[in-house]
Amino acid sequence: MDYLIAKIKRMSNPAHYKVLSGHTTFQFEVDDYSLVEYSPDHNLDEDGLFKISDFTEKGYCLDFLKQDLVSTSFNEIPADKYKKVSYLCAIQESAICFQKVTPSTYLNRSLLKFGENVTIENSDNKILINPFPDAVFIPSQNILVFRNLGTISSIFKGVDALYKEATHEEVNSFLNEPFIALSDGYDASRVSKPNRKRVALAIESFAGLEGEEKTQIMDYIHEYCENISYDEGEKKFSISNDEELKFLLYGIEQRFYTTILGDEKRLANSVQTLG
Amino acid sequence: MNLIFRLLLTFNATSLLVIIFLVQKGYALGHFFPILCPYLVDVSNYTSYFVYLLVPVLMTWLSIVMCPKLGKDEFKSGAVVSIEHANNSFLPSYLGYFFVALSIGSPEALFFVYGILFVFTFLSQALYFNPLFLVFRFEFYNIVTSDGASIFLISRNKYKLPKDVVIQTAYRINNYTFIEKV
Repeated sequence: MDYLIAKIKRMSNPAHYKVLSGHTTFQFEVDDYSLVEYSPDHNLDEDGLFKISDFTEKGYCLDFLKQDLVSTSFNEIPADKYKKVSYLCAIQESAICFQKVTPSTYLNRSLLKFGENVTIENSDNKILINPFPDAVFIPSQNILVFRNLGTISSIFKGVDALYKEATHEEVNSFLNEPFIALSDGYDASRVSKPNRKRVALAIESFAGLEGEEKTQIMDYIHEYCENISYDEGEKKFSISNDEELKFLLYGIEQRFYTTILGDEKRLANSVQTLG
Repeated sequence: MNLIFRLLLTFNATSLLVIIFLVQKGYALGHFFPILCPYLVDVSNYTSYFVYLLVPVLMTWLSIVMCPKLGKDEFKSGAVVSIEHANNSFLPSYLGYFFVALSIGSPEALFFVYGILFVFTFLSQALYFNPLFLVFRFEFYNIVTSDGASIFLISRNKYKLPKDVVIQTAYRINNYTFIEKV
């Protein structure tokens, strides 16, 4: 039997309460989606969802997902706690669906109800259920699937560690790498948020390169990014704005390619490892 | 809904106190409304006692009928790890009711004692042991679920082993008491 539980804010032991049972809250089939292992710089396709594999082994996995769930173990939610729900969790046949509850999820408006007589209904004590859950745990595959990491980070505390953004110091030390020359007063404080994310990834990728490979990468970037001025003697790229930095970072991630037919130079703004 | 149901169960569980008091004092039906319903005066004591007993029996039946209005839960196979038959555990508390009822002297005392008992039974919520469920062929069980929680189960099935307890729909009377209505 499917049932729905709610996590109550600022309450522990127990923090989860049973809301209702015998009703399927979310219609969700994981097979309808193509799953991509989470990576902060991946742009999801329309039918795509991120997944986190081996989820129960992760530190941010909720304790109650690690054991067999028994609905009788959850107390019934006291009516006065409805305003303090932080998320809903629907335990269903093959999936455990989560929906974050924010103040905007509560309906606080008057509703016009048509029928024999038209009446105004006050919508107190109502929580809006989204057509699509924010996160879904599939026990049979031990994966968590979701669309937006930011939304679920309040449900799974610590999961936002996956969303790396370089700190000011890291950006600073990256921009001081010998192959970068800053110009036009561009510095670490002017690096945009998306670029900080890319810097965090690029630091890792760059650290994994040997000396010869680094030179190859420099030549590769120079070949594709004619808009970034490159000093071949000193092997330095001159970076004067966010856009140039973005292309340099894409280059380090080897996002440029040439089509087989037509020799068109292209940039892949989202990548996925095959095989 | 739950509140009404719990009040009903509390009444069923404690009503025996009033009946024993009435029987002990020899109050027949005619004693209550001699002017309004004079024909009741002729009703024999035995018939009166039987009528008294009928009230909680009907109320218990009503509470069983009302069960499906409660929250539902499921016991999957493997959800229960230990089971203990608990039909007899209500006896000490019921003997308590008997002695209290027998020693009450006046209707005022009954009113007061019953009031206190009702409130405590209602609030404790654990003591819904109602021997009248036995009349309706229900059995009482203490079960422990796979995650260690202890639950009181009322069911018509004669469970013997934990693995026998597989229930599609059990109704939740409160967080520690469930009833299976077959």
